[in-house]
Amino acid sequence: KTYRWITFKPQGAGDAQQRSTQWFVDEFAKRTGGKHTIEVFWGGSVAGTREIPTALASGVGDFGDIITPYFPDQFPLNNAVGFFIPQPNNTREIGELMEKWHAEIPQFEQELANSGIKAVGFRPLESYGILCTEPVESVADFKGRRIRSYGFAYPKLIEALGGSPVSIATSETYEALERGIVDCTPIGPALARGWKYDEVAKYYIEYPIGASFGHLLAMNLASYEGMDEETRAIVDQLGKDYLGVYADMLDDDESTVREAWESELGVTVIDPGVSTEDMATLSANEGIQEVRKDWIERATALGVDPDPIVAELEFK
Amino acid sequence: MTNLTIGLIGVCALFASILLGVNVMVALGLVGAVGLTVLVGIVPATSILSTVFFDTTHSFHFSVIPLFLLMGFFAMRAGLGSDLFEAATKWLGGIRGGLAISSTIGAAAFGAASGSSVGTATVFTKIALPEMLARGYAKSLAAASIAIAGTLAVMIPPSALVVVYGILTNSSIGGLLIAGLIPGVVFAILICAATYIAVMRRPALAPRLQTDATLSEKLWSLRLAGPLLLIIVAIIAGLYLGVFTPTEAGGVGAMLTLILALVRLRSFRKLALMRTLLDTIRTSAMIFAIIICALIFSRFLALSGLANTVGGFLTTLDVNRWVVVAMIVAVYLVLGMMMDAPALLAITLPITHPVMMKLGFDPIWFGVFVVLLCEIGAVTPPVGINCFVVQAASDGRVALEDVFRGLVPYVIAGFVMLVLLCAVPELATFLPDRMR
Amino acid sequence: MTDDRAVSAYGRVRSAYGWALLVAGSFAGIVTFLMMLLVVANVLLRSIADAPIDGTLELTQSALVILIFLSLALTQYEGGHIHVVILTQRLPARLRTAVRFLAMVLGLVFFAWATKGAFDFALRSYTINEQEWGAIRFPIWPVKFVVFVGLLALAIQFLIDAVGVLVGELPDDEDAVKEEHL
Ligand code: NA
Ligand code: NA
Repeated sequence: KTYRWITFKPQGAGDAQQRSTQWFVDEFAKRTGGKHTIEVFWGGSVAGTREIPTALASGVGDFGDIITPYFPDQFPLNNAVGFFIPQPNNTREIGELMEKWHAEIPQFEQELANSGIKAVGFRPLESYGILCTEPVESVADFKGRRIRSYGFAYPKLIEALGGSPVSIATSETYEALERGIVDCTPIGPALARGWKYDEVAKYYIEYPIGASFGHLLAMNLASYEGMDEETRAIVDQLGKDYLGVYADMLDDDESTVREAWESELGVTVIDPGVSTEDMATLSANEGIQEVRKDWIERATALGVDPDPIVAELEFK
Repeated sequence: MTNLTIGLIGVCALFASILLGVNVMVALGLVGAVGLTVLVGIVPATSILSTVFFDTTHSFHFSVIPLFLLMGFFAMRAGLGSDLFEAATKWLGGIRGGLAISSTIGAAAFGAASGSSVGTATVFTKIALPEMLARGYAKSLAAASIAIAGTLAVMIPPSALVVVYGILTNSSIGGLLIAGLIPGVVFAILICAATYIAVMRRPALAPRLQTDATLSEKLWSLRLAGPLLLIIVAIIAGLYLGVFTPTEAGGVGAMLTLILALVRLRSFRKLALMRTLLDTIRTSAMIFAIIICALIFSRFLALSGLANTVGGFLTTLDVNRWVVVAMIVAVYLVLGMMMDAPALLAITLPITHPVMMKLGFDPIWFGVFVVLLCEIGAVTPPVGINCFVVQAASDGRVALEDVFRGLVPYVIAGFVMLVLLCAVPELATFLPDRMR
Repeated sequence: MTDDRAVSAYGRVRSAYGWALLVAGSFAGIVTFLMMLLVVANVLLRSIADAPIDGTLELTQSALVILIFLSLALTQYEGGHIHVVILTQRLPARLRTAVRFLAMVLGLVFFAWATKGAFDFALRSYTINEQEWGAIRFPIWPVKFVVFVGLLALAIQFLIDAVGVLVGELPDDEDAVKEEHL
């Protein structure tokens, strides 16, 4: 059988997300001995980013990647990490936490099943710092800077830092940085290169925002359950192997970008000297806590004990 | 029946239903949805219908389309176009075909403040067509020169169509917008040259006019172009100084033009605000309906594998890359005959853009190139939206056949422009490269 | 005699419906104007006072959805959606009527289908009380219901136009795009 994978990623992207998707597809064909294959429909040619859960649930595709933060009401539990910005875990750790929660807390899987979807793998994003057009030597330096924000959690973090949050669409952030509409944007090295922001903003501040989640590698529930046991076992194993493969690719990308920053691109990396205690103090900020409380209430209402999850996502 | 066959049948069904007079949006949407049903089933097809209308319009980028349209309608109400035309007449009325040439120049200038090909063609049909016909210009020349000049608004920034390209291909919209400036000016010159040559070959098309404007009158007439220039300069300056983003420029441009219109008219009533707003939302609805339905059709094409196959075929071709370019031109010209520009881009770019990128072409250059192809498509029969617009806005002065008949020299000018873009890619890439 | 009465009844229904669509369209026009003001106010406050208006991006997105879907049916009522007459205008009168009727029925089928989809989508959004999660938070499901209403209104307009072709009350529009729509 040929399964359909629908993704927003363009085939030509060549980043860790795209390469690891290709790896999954190739490996699937290999491990099933060519009995089953996956055909990928790249670049949102079949469904837009915000349409993918609906398209997956109805069987437009069998596989697909869901940008989880776009759906906080549909998948509140799986969005836990998105309510905890900043948080102390890196990409690999966030992936492992998602695996652990899915294994231990049935509601995580149930919430996807309610939408006709099954998670087969997890793809957290890279750890973020803050990229600026001017040097920012210490956290106090963020005061008064216009920092690009999006979503509901970043405005609170930026305000806590003393900056002023400015909502700019991702595709306009390049121009906004170039022309000084914003001074800074939260981003990681690989993505900064991907969007070419580092052409116009030359100071990367190692402010430890942590990794965020991220993308669910999901399947149409019926397609998953319709697989024979052997194939399903292959998919389950592939999903587990995926995290390591993807995280390695991401590490490679990051070190390549950092080398390029140092050599030809002339991006200065600044360590503002932030300790875990500093982050814990900042996280105690009222606005930031308000966002977290919102999630805690939602999780409690869904019958999930929030404490062990929160413990992983707070700075200690 | 293979999926590929289903895809081909879908393409044929699309053209057949368009020719039978089915609304273009209905033809695209229904053939797409039925095709999806055949390929993946009715539940998935319905699910695509359920999300695509909301998802496509729930977009900050696309807000520039109604805002640029609004700007164009305010400019029309303020009489900015007719002022420009009056000034141009003083300067060029004495040349044979001079009125057509001056309306082309006026449209090019207007295009620097309007993002809409349709809007510009309407404005100039209202202003320039009666003037030309009254002075003995042939219907075909007068109407066709306006239909083609309207397309300059799309090439010269700002441009809603270029924004569509940027979104569909994830390219830098700022770079794309500025890239269109030089090609737009060059194309305007080519259009003027085409008019001049056509009139030289058949003098009956346009009489020479007596102009008794003195030099001082000519110079004084330049003041009429001032207000529009002021707005254009303000927008460009605002973009460069980082006051607003390209998307926000739509709102700023509309606001500035509104203020100017109010200053000019000295009356809120004459502005006919509600009518202007209704004109804007009607045209917006038309454009979005086409964009969304084209998206449904293109998803059907994608799932049928036809898009991948054509794309794969184009990429694996072991031929000179210019042969591929020629094939892409042919595809756009054929599809452009039947389709509206945003639809054409939505359907074709997922196939052609990756192919061109693999062949090493510059994404911004290709944006300008494709937009030019769309402009040619906007005037070629049977679906030449600018020709419909000119005919419709002419109050029965010209027939659709008149418009199409006069277009031959301008389509040739379009081809010359295509060749120029290939020979001198810097026409498109020079300005964006300076911006980096 | 009965024919005449039927025709005029049809005309009354069509224009009453058109009047309702004009009200919706006027509302869409006002939304467009407000959207312009919001974008400009955000630019001004951001550059002058360093205090952008929270939620401009999110509100603009929703405004766009509302203005498009409140004007879709009006545009069809006035014959504004693009179609080609090059072939049909050469057909004999009865065949042309048949083709035009078919075109309207196809429009009805497609938009009725889309209406069904949009309703399901909006209802799902409503059941989870879906919000727009940005710099400000507001319910997004009502906007999804606007899509449903807009598509429904368009489907009904196609139904009215199909009936109009049958009863010979819908003028044969030679102009694909009418002047007042531009
Ligand atoms: Na323009
Ligand atoms: Na055409």
